[in-house]
Amino acid sequence: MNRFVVWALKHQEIGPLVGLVALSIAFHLASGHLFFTSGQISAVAALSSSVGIVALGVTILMISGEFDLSVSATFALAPILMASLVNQAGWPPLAALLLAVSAVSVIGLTNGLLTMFTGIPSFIATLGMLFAIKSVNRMLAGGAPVELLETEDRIIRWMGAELPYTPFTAPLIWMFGFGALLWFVLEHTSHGNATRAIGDQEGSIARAMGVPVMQTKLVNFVVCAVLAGLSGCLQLADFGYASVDSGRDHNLMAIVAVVIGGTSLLGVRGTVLGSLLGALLLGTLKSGLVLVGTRGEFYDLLIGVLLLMAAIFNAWAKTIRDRSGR
Amino acid sequence: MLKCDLRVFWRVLACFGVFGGIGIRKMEKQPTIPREVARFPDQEHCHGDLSRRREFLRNSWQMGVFAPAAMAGLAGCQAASQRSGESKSGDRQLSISFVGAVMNNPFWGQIQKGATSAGNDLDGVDVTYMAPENFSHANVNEIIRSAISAKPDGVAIDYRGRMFEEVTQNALDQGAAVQFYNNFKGKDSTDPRVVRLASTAVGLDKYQAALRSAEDFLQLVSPGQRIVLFNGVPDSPEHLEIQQAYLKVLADAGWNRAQIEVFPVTLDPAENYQLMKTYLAAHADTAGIICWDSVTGGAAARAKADAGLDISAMAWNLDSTIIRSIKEGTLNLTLTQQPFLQGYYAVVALYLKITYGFIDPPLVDPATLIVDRENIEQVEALYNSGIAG
Repeated sequence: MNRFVVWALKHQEIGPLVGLVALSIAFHLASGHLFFTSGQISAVAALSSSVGIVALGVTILMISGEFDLSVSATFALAPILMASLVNQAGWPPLAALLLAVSAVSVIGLTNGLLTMFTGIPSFIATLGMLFAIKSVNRMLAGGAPVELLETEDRIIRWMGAELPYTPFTAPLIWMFGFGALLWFVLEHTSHGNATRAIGDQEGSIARAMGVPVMQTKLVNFVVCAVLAGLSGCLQLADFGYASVDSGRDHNLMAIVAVVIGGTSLLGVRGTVLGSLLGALLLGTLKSGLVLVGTRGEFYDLLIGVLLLMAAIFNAWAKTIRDRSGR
Repeated sequence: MLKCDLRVFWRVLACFGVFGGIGIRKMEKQPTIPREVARFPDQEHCHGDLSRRREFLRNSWQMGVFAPAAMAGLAGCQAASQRSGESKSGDRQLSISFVGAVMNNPFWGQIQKGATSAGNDLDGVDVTYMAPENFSHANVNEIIRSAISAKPDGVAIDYRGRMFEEVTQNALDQGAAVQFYNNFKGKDSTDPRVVRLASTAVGLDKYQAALRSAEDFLQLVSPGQRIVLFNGVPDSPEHLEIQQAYLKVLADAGWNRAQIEVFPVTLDPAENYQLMKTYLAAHADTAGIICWDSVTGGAAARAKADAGLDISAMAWNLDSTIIRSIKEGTLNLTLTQQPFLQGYYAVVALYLKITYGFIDPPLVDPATLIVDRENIEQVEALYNSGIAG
């Protein structure tokens, strides 16, 4: 086997990176040089960062062999809670943010406990949680968008401000910040080692070797929920209001981004950088298709094709790696 | 409120008594192994009778609690239901089931408020609003089915097409008065009763409302200019119908199809905003934006403001973002379907049918209200008091 091919298969971030660059150039040329403008880069950054932060949590959870389908509802719950506390109870934004994040961390913990103690698959446990939280969101927001009335607070500006001299807003920086932190945890800490170890064969081998399976999975469920909630709050700070439909597809889009980024649906394999590139690819695709005048209906079709291609490629890459013994 | 709480109390008490009693009966039937026997199997004869006697005494005591509770609860329920069937003037209370499309939605909240307000204003009318958690034709149909199984005197139905025909006929067959509101697509039914209901409904014909709002909007744009229609719920037949109305009126006014773009979006406001911003960057010649829900309209107003383009924009319905956008001038107009009045008038129509036997109260059109900078202050006051949406 060609050494370059093996190297490329080992570094699965290469695929989405090449795709991202190729798509960006294609959209730029097809749109009459409109893609690499500050407005478009800003739109891509905003579309990517909200999914990207959710995808980070989903990555670490999928590496440990679990799913969280409730992240889209958690994404909406945290900002609705935060805005309601600020607007109606007069809480300072920081306190409201902390309480919202605490609330979603309890949801993550509950997801983990349900999965660990009842033995039901996380797919089902978090699906149940998804419906439950959606219902709570409707009760809290009453169906109407919840507007954040306090926008001049320092914390809000830190969370969602436009970055001076750039087309970017703060959530993109937060996404890379969280990504760097998670990369460090995954690659350089014992928790990261444990996360990869428990993703294999439902953690049976890891358990036999003394890895704290339950503790590691619980932490990952909480991290996943917290990142989803934080992403929603960052969008609230940037956009100004949230609704029950905010991030409605983020549970599926995050999985798409993660799979495009090379994370295995069976656990163990996956990288933070790959997921971030997957999220950027989705944002680019969404914005670029509008820019070149493609009918909106084609977006979902292309996402489906892209997901299938990525999953097939990942499976093929695994076979090649197994054969080459690397 | 108190009456409702009392009914709940009696029901809980009755359930406690009945199910507690059943639980005791089951315990009695289950063969129990006395502790003594389990510990000393050879002494079963010595201790078996004693343990059974203890068991009987314990169960008798429990039955003594549960049986009176059940009887008191059932008696209370009966008394409460008799009381609840009477109006302030002592006449029988009319029960009206008002079936909405969805819970916890600003538009449907206004309809609910209108319906319950009418119930409060009319003596002896008990209005129960019910709707599914998530909207779908099937979900609404199921709720209507449940509503008529309680045999109310009247049912208000948001009739969206043939799938609601059977439940409507069931309601009519069991003698309930029926009133269509909001949607009334029964004019093509083979059942003349359904056709009549469709012809005497309360609410706006959405197609006509779209045509009416288009008349005002066309004064802001000129034929041949690019118009984009942002459809926030592209899978909904009702939204497609509105879309068709706008396409027709634009075509009649001289636009060709290439100058009109239909762009499906979602109900995620932040995502819509980014996509609309991108669309306007790619089509800076856009002169008009048409949306027909408040979430899409609010995002469009903001995208238009950020694009810094001179674009006329319109939406449907009201929320705080729409009101602010009209005041700031980023949205030119919005159409309100006066949902409070739809709910109110539908209950009044049912009251007239049930109380006085009217067969066909006339069609009630709460009238399309176009909201713009001229009347926004007045409408905002109504919105803040919860009766305009």
